[in-house]
Amino acid sequence: MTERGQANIVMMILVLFLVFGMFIFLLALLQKPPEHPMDNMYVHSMLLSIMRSDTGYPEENCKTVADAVACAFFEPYYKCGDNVPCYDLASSIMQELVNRYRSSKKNRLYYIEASPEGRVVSWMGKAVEISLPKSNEYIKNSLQKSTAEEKIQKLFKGEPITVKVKLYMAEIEAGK
Amino acid sequence: MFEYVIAAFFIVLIIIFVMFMLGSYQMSQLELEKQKFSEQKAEQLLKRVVSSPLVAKEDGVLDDSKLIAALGLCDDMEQFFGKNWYAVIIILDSSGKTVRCQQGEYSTDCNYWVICADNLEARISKEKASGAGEEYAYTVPVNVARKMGWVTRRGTATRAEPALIEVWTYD
Repeated sequence: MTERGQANIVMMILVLFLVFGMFIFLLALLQKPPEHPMDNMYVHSMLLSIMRSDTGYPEENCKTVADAVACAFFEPYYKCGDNVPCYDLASSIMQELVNRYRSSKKNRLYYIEASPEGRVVSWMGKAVEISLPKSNEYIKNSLQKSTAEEKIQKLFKGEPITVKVKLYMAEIEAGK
Repeated sequence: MFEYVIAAFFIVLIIIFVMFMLGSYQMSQLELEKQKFSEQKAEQLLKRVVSSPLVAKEDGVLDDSKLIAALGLCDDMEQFFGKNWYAVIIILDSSGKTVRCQQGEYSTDCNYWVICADNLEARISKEKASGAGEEYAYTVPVNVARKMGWVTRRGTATRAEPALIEVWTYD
């Protein structure tokens, strides 16, 4: 092999190394940390905060949002302050609180649902649902979403009852 | 002979380029690690503050009278939580108005507290003078238990209000 041929082979090997090195380098640069690592903690804290918030009614069935949600399913005829049914109170207050929290994360969509587990006393039998600002299917199907789930457990007429509450928080996808 | 000179020149050039690439990769990794560390520090601080008996009644429920007391205890709190941080707690009431709570003056009319406000003011003046470095903030929803002014059989009546806590850390 001539000197020129040897030099060409060495150069080709070096160029191959260089291309390979650049490829690895660019690949490493693409590995970015997740954009919203705190969303999970945020959504769990938000659901807990909403459930613990006071409604403004002093009765045991209506004192906190969690009480009102449980009452909506298991004592639907009960009226908070003698004029507001538990179901209406639970829906309106959850909507209001989600709206207040929306002010700090405006680029997110929210959907909250509550449904009883096991034996249901309620004649309504339907879930308390709040969806802001788009339809729940859009939020449920979103790829960029965080969810939190809590169970409200209470005693109703001596029997334990459970209501499952789930909050979805989805990122608004570009162009939608 | 001339081919070897050219090849040697390119070899040196490539070695320098590879060294530069590896150096910048190391630098970016270091930056990422530093950022991750600072974010973890802020996250840990936030979790410790919202569950600390210094300001919280229970995990995630802050006590408004403890918050008032905490306004004047930054030095003591820095011993527990470390230096270079401040926290802002704001009640999300329907009016949307914000009234800052003052140290030593208990009131249910105010709705936001700044813990370690001196650190915040120092940051603002540093930023105006020379530009402050990076800072990290994390926000989570909490509740603030407010005293209602009457007593029940279980003790002083409280009302849990929805609120946000924002913890800022910096180097």
